[in-house]
Order: sequence, then C-alpha cells, then structure tokens
Amino acid sequence: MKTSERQTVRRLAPCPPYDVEACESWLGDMAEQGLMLELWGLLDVRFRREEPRPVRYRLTAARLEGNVLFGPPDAPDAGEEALYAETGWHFICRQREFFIYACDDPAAPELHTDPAVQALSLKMACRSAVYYWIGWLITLAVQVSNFRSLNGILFLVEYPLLNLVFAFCLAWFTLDWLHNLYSIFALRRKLKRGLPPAPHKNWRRSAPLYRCANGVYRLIFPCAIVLLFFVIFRPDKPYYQRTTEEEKAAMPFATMEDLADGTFVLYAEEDDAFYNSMETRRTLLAPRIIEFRERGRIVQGDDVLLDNYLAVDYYEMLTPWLAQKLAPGLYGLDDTYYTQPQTLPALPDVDTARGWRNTDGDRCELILTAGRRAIRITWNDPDGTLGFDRLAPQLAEGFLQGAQPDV
Amino acid sequence: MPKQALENLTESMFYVLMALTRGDACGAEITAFAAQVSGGAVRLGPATLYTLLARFEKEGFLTEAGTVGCKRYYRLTAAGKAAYEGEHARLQRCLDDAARAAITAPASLTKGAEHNENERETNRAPSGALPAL
Repeated sequence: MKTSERQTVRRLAPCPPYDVEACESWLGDMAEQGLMLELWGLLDVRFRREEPRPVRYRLTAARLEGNVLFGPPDAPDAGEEALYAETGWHFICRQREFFIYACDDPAAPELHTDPAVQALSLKMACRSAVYYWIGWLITLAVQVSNFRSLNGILFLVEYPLLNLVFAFCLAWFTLDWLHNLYSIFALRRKLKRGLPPAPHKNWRRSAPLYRCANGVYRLIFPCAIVLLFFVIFRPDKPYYQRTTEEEKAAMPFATMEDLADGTFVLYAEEDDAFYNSMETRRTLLAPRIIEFRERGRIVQGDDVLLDNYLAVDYYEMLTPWLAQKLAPGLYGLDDTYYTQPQTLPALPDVDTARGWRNTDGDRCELILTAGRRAIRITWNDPDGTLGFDRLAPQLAEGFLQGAQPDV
Repeated sequence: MPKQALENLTESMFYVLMALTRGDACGAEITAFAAQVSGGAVRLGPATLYTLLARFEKEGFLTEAGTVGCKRYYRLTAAGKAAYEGEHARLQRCLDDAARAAITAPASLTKGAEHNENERETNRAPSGALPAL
C-alpha cells in the first residue's frame, strides 16, 4: 500500500548560511534521502520529495562586484545561468549572498575548478558579511545606549521575562553572525591557500544546538516584538481600585495621615478613584511593587492641615544592588521635568536620597533607597511651605519604619 | 588590492587569456579550447570561468565583443595581452631555469641527489638473490 507523504517538506537549516561547505554537504545529504531543494527561505528551507538520488549542490557568490549596501539580485543573469546550464548545473534559488546550483550528472565538472578564483569570487560575500556585522554592532550599541538612558533598569525590573527573551535574541544573533563571519573568512583563507572546499563537511555535529537555538530564536523573537508593542502601547487602565483605610495603614511608607495629625477627607467634587488608588504587583526581580496615589485634605475640626496630592512608587527588590541601580530610573517617572536639584536635610539610615523640584517649582520629587527597597514620592508645594526640609525627614522615617526584616 | 591578486596568474586564468589571444570567444568556446589544448588536463568550471571573465573585464583585460542569443563574446585588450605575455615570459623563464638546473646545477645543490644515489646503491639487492616478486 502506498503511503501518503507530503510532497513539500520544510526543515530548519542545521548551519549558518555563510558556512558554504556545511550547506552544500547538508543539501547533498537531503537529496540522498529524497528531499530536493526548492527554496531557501528566511525562516526555513523547503524541499520537494522525489526519488532519492545523489545530487551535488554548490553555492556560488551571487555578486562579483557592486555595492554591498544594496542586496544581491534574486537570480543570476541569463548569461550566467545559460553558461552553467550547458555543463549540467541548474539554478535553484538564492540564499543570502549565494546562488544555489544543483547538478545530478556525476560526470559534470565542478562549478569551481580553481580555488584561487573561488576565493576571488567570495570577496563580495565577505565584505557583505562584515557590513552586516558592523550594522549589527551599531544596532547593539544603540540598544544598550537606549537601555541605559530610557529607564532600562526599570523596564528590566517591570518586565524581566521580556528582557530575558530579548537578551537571548541579541546574544544568539551576535553569536550567529560571528559564526557566519568565521565560516566565510575561514573558507576564503583556505581557498587562497589553494585548498579546495570540502563538499562533505560534517554538519551533523553542531546541527542539534544550532537548530535548537535558531528555532527558539525564530519562535520567540516575533512574540517578544508583539509583546513589546503591547507593553509600549498598552491602553490606560480602565479603572482604579479605591484604597481602603486598612490598606493605607499597612503601607510600608508614609501616607498623608502620617504627615499631619488629623483626618483624611476626600475632595467632595473630585471623589475620583484615580486619585486615591493603589496597585500592588510583583515581578521576578521585585517581589513587591506598589503604585500609590492619594489626593485630599487632612483636617482637624475646621482647620485644613494638609491639602495635597501624594504619589508613591515603591519597589522592594531582590537585592540591595538592584535597588541602588533602580533608583536613578525612578527619576521623572510621571513625565514631569524635575529640573532643579534640591539640598536635602540629613536623613540617617537612608542609603541614598535625591530631591528635585520641577521647572515651575511647585512639585517635588524625592527618591530614597534603603537596603533592597527604593521609593519615589512626589507631592505638591505651590506656596513653598511643604518643602524638603519639612517633609523629607517624615517621608524618610515612614519609609524606614515600613521595612520588613529580611527572612 | 585587486591588482595584487592577479599578479601571478593561476593556471585557469592563463588558459582563459590564452584562448582569447586567438580571437573573440564566448564562455563555452573558452572552456572547450582550454580542455583541447591541454589534452583534457585543464577543465574550467563554469563558475570559475564566469568569475574570471567578470574579474578580467573589471581589470580591463578584456571587453565584451558582442552578444549572440544569451552568449556573450569577449575580446582581449592590450592590457590583457600584456598580462598574458608577461605570464608567458615568467613561465618560460621558469622552464629555462629548470632546464639549466638539470644540466649545470652547482655541486652544493646536488648533495641531495648524490645522497639519493648512494641510498639506491645501499639498498640494491645482493647479486644472486632472488628477484622480488
């Protein structure tokens, strides 16, 4: 009984595309299993199932001269194709900087019969590989620079898995290109010495690792990009959870009630949960993150002791080192320009403390770290009566008192 | 340094130029000429030939003489002829040197040959021994 087999088979390449010898060897081995190359795609390689037979595959440089900034042509020119066809070699497809030809006539001459000339033909491919590498290094440098300047550490703390995925992708891409560079330059050096290429190179040794890493990369990179866009362009939170008095009392930092002795009263006209809310979450690097917003008045009888809007971003990290690294990333978290550094009063037991006022001078920002905790507190000070001298010690004290003993 | 790579022509480079000294030719004719004149010893692979033609054209060693169908014909330029003749002269010198060396090599350079001769004498089978099968 004839078994029904798919006529088109897809495989992940077991070697980098610039490893010419390994690619030729692999394609030849696939032909002996009855899989004839149809297309070398971006993601995988497509084969057509036929009767198994020995077929020689050869990769030739797709361009011998020109500008490496523009991609190579998709197919050889008619003259080249006709010349090769006369000797039994047929063009199959392009793979990066190479054209792949196949020949099933064992008597046909090799495509390249002079290693020195083959080395000459690889010059553009080598140059292209170097340009790709330089381009990649520039991209990598920009990424690292962005990470450092655009609250990268905060992004790392908030989305550690996403960062891990990106780190893997960056590392794999870098290693893959290094492998490509090494392969093409090693082959050229060998050819220059007059040694012919090895069409039966053993590609199996590194194939499992290469396929695994490449497969994972191709699978998770698009997911990571989609996830990143979702993170960047995520919709605003539809609603906020109103903070209860019990929750406020359990906060590991000072709330408005800790700053003045009285009763907290919401604005009657702005009884909006947005201004009196909290969100608690955890990530792999930060076991406890609290976003706390509080707006209202502290009153004692008819006297208004405090009328303010307090916003707190609290991070409990895995290690003190992470807390120290996170602190600069908390600066300007609400997109306000805090341009005026402030001199703070002595705050004992606090590891680091920084204070700023915004350009108009009516909003203050205080960032503190102690142990493995970091906090950012902002409040209004329109008339200069709630400056750092008055509130910073109270806020620092509340922050220190909220520390839980390390287990 | 593109010129440097072509300072000494390889065998296939030499035969391509040699083919074109006889007149305009297309790729297939060049391949056939090289195989014929070398008694089959020189087989030019199509990729080798194509690379060389492109490279020689870039170096100004040859120009396109015309196209018939999808066949391109090539013509040797003065620079190409000079390159061919230069290589021819270099190879001729090598052959002349080799011929001279065989006849009048200095004694100091023939010690190895004497040594080989002595070794042959030593290893010669003793008279009366049976010939090796």
